[in-house]
Amino acid sequence: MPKIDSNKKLRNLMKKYYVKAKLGAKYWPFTKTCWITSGGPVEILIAMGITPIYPENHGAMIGAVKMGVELSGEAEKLGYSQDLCSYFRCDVGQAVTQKSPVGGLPRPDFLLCCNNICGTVLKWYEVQARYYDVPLVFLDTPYNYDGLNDDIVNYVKEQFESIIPEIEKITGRRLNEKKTKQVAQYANEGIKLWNEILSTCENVPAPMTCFDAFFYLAPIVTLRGTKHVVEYYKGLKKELEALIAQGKGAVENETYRLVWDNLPIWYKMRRLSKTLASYGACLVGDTYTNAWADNDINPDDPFGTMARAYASVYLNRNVDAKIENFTSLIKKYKADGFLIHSNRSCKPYSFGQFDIKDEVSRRTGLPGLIIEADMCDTRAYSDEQIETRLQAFIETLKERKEAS
Amino acid sequence: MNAKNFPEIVADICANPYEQLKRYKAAGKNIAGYTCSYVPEELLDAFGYIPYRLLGRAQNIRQADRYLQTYCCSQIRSLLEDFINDEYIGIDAVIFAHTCDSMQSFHDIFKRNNPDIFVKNVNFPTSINNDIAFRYALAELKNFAAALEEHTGKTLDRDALVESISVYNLNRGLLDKLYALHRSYPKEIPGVTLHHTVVASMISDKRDINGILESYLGTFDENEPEDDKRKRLMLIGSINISEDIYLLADEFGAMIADDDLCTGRRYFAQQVTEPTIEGVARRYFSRPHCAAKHRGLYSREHYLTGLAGKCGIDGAIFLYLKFCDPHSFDYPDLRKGLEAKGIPSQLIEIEQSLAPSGQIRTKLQAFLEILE
Ligand code: SF4
Ligand code: SF4
Repeated sequence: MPKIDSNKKLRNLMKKYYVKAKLGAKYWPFTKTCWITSGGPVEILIAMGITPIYPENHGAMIGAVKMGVELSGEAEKLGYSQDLCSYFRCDVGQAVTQKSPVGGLPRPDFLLCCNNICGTVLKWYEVQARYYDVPLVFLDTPYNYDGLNDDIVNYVKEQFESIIPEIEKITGRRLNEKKTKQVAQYANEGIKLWNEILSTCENVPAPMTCFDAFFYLAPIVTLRGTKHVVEYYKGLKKELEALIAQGKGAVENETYRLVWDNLPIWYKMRRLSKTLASYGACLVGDTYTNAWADNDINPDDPFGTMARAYASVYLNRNVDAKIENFTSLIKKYKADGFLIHSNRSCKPYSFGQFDIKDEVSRRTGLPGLIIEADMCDTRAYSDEQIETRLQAFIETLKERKEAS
Repeated sequence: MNAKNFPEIVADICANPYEQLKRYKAAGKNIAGYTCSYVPEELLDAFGYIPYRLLGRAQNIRQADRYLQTYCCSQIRSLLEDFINDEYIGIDAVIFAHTCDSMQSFHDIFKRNNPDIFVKNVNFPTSINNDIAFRYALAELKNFAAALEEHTGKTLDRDALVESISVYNLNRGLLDKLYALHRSYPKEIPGVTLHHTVVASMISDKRDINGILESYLGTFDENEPEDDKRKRLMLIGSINISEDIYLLADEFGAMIADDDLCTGRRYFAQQVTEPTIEGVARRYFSRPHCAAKHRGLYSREHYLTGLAGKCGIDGAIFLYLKFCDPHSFDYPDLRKGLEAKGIPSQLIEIEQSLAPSGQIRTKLQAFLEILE
């Protein structure tokens, strides 16, 4: 991808965030720190001036610098199975060793867990709440087996109303209405911009690839609801639009446009992106970064709309809904095929992918490839095997292109 | 049927689960398969179904690999294989309940691929420790009853529900008594009979089991326990359909004095104290819970150390099904919690789809030596 300012800005933004969070937790007694899951309602924390920390984002960093196996090993030594989510294992590892690209996470004052992405996070947060001996605030968001219904929405809304006093009690902070509205507005703006940023890839050639999007995702997850995110994404969007205007694509001679499913394989980002680029293949869209692109909070009814939004995030919807979503992404991005990461760590994201692959192929007439891997644990990955399969897949795409 | 033969009768039912299904089918009954103890069987029973617990049994999993990755627990994969192998022909409905990530996805996969079966999920909350969650659970049980009404064309009959609840309560009480008597008469009531009786109860009309179980228990005198100094073990885990651990414990002169298994005490613990849907929901909020549910940070540890104390447990066996996430998350802290109460433990990982290996034997033997 052509060099753009936003890359450096993002590094600075995230560095500032981690440094501030760590120093604050250590030296500033009034700081309140909360660990929160990636699908959790961070808006509440932002509105209350509580520092949110995302062990999943941290896990991704650990994966990217290839520390996954080392830190997982620490968790495995304690008796945690190697079959558990590698984000969890890395998190336990960093907690006991304080090792990671940022030297470990700051100690939490409490944990906020929302199980709209998986049941794993609840078990994970139970473990960490015991380890740090801090309260666990839990927001239970029932899976949408038969779609979203009023009982689920009411249940989640009532919990919002009960967890806020709980958090107020733990932190001694108050949630005020004006601030909540403002945060909701920033969150919406940020989400809208993120959606527009992802949508720039509708352009042929795409100005960025999903490998870039995986990187640009961090602010909307971790700092949603702040002005910084809005400003940052405005800048990024401008730069991407400029690239489009200049006709510059992220992949030289973009020939094959592919859509990706599941989390990235953090430790193989560079290598996979090079391999794909060498074939003229560009990842133009994915289900993962899009999961943060469609929440809409009404500032006049934040909890009602948040209940709805949080209870129906992508991973909380059933396989039929995932098929719909994947199909529409493929159409939106005018893809030629799709790649599915069967991720050993993430069972709720991965089980159902065989059905998804068949049905999406049937609906779109496009081929798909399933890659077996893990997002952080390199032991579940084989360069040779995956590259051979990718090569064969590209061959198929080529034949199809030539035939049409 | 003779009460004395009870152990053989239940052993036979367990060994031939599909035959049991065929017998009921031949008698013109409707069968509702269910995947988890959070499915309110009393409601199914009140609608005239025989609830039939689906326990994956296939040992050679091949066809299920077309639908599910190999890193899914073998309980689910075996079950899917069984269905593909047509072992469950004649099942009228398959009912799920919300528990773990794997079961959640399995529901979706199963439903998509079995359009001819009535498939329904009871979306039980994950929290089971507060009033908000209770209200949701109740609403969800009512939704389930409404779905059954719609599907069967019947309305839920209050008297039928009262009767079903009392039949189930009786069964629960009898199973509890069986466990207690086993502790007094470990030779006469072998451990494996506990396992057989629970599993047979799960796949039978409770009315068929209750009478004979009651007579069998009546043959023991509660006041004259055997004088037996066996080491007392407790099993902790999700699902176990293998007899090995029970037989081996007997062989080594120890006993399985109690358990916290889906296929054990977690299935029958606690009675429904009020004969209504509310009562059914209430029981789930007070009975010992599965690792996939949340009742606070120490609820399982406190419960297990309490149970161990009550039953005089010498050692605990974590009998873990590979890839069963909720239970393996809990393992290290539970092990520590038990240890702090002076109860050593041993982890044994099992795979339902694999033939029993020498592993269990070696590990159990070594563990019992430590307990000596
Ligand atoms: S990777 Fe999957 S299992 Fe792990 S925390 Fe994320 S959603 Fe949950
Ligand atoms: S709780 Fe464990 S054994 Fe049961 S379905 Fe889930 S993963 Fe499998």
